[in-house]
Amino acid sequence: MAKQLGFYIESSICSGCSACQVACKDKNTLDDGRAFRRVFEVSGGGFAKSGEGYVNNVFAYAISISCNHCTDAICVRNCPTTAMTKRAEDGGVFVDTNKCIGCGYCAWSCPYGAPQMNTVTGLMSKCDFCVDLLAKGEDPVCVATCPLNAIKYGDIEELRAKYGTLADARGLPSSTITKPNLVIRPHLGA
Amino acid sequence: MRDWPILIFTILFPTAVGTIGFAALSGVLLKGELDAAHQYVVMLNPMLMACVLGVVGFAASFWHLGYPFNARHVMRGVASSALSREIAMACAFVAAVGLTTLVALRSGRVSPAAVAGCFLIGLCAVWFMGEVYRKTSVLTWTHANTHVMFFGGLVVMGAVLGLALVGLAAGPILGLVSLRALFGWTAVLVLIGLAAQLAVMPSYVTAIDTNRMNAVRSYPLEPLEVFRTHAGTRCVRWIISLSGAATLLCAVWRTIRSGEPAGFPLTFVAGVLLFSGEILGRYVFYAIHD
Repeated sequence: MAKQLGFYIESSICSGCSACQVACKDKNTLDDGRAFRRVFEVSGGGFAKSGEGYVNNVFAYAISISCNHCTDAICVRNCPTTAMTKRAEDGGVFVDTNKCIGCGYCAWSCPYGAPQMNTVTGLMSKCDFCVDLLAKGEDPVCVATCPLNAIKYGDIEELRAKYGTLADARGLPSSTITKPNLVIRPHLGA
Repeated sequence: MRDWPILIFTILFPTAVGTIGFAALSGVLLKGELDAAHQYVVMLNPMLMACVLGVVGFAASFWHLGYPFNARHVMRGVASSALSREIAMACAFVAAVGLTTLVALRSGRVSPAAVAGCFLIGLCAVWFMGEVYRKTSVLTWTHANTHVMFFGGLVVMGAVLGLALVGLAAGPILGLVSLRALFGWTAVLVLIGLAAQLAVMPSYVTAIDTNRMNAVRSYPLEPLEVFRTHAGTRCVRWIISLSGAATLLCAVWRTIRSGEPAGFPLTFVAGVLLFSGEILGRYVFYAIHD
C-alpha cells in the first residue's frame, strides 16, 4: 500500500500562539485573506448553581488545522476540472493550476476550509504539505516551527499506531465526511 | 453578496427551462384548437426566449470564475462532480433548444415532442444545479430546500413568462376555452411553485438550526448567522411573491369573466412581482459571506 501522509495535532498542549500559522503564511507568501494553517479557539461551558456556590465546566482550547489530505477528499470529488487531485505516492491533495478555473466549489465543499482562493491569480491554493521542504529532507514549516512540538507529521498508519485513531474534536467536522488523515489528542474540554 | 453572476445564472436558466416547459404544455392544451401554423406562432416566442435566457445565463456564470481560460477542462470531473454534470446538462439543454428553434424557424413547424425533450433535459440540468449546492459544507445549502427553491422558481417564472409570451403572440387568435385553460394552468403552476417553497420552509429552518456544521470552527463561513440577519429580506420576498400570485389570480379572474385576453396587462405586473420575489429569494440564498 502506498504511503499516506498525515498530521498529528496535540491540541491538549497547544498554547494557541499561532507560530505555525505565521510560519506557513510567511513560507507561502500568503496575503491577508489566506492562511493554509489556521489556529482557532474553541470555548464553551458555563456556571451552574450548586448548593451555596457554583460549579463550572468552562473550557477553552486551541486547535491548529490545515488541509488533512483526506482519504475521501470532498474537494477532489467535487472539482469539475479534476484540478484538485490526490497524489498516489504520498496521498497529498494538490491543485493543478493549469486546470483550475477558480470556481471556488472546493472552498465551499471542504469543511476544514483548506482550499483558499488566491484573489490575485483567480486560482485556488492550499497546503501542499511543504513538498519542497520534504524533498530536501526537512520538516513541513508548521511542524518545524511549533515551539511546543504539538504538530507532527508522517505516514498516517505510523501516527495512528503511535497516537491512536481519534480525528474528531469539538469545533471540527465529523471525520466521517472526508476521512481526514489526521490524529488529534484533544484538550480535556473537547 | 459576492455571487451575483451565479445568482443571475440560477434565475435565468430555470426560467428558460420553465418557459420551454410552458411552451410544451401550451402545445398540449391548444392541440385541438390550433393547426400546425398557429402552433408554430404560439410556441416560437417561448423557444426564442429560452435560447436567449440560456445563453445570457451561461455568459453571466463565466463572470463567477476566477480563471475562465481553463474552462475547457470543466467536463473532466463528470464522474464525480455535480458541477461538471450541471454544466454538461445545461450545455445539452441550450444546444437542444437552439437546434429545435433553428429547425422550427427553417421549417415553419414546431415539433411538440422535441420541445418536451428539451424540457426533460432542462429538468435534469436544474436537478444537478441543486446537487451542486447540496454537496457543499454550506449548511444553508445542503437541505432539500435547495432543490425545492430551484424547481419552484422554474415553475413560477417559467409559467408566468410563458403565459406572457404565448399571450403576446397568440392572444387575439385564441378562443375562450383555450384562454381559460392557459390562464388557469398558469395560476395553478404558480401557486404550486410558491406553495412548495413555503411548505419546505419549516423543516428547512429547523434543520439548519440543528445542523452539526453550526458547531464547526474550522469552516470559514458562518451562513446561519448571515441567514438570520436577512430575516427582513425573506419577509419582503414572500410579501412580494404572494402579491404577485394575488395579482395573477386577478388576471385569471378578469380573463375568465370577460372571455377576452383582458388579463394580460395584469399578468405582466404579476410577472414583475413574481420575478422580483424569486430574485430576492436567491439573494438570501447566496448571501453567505456578509
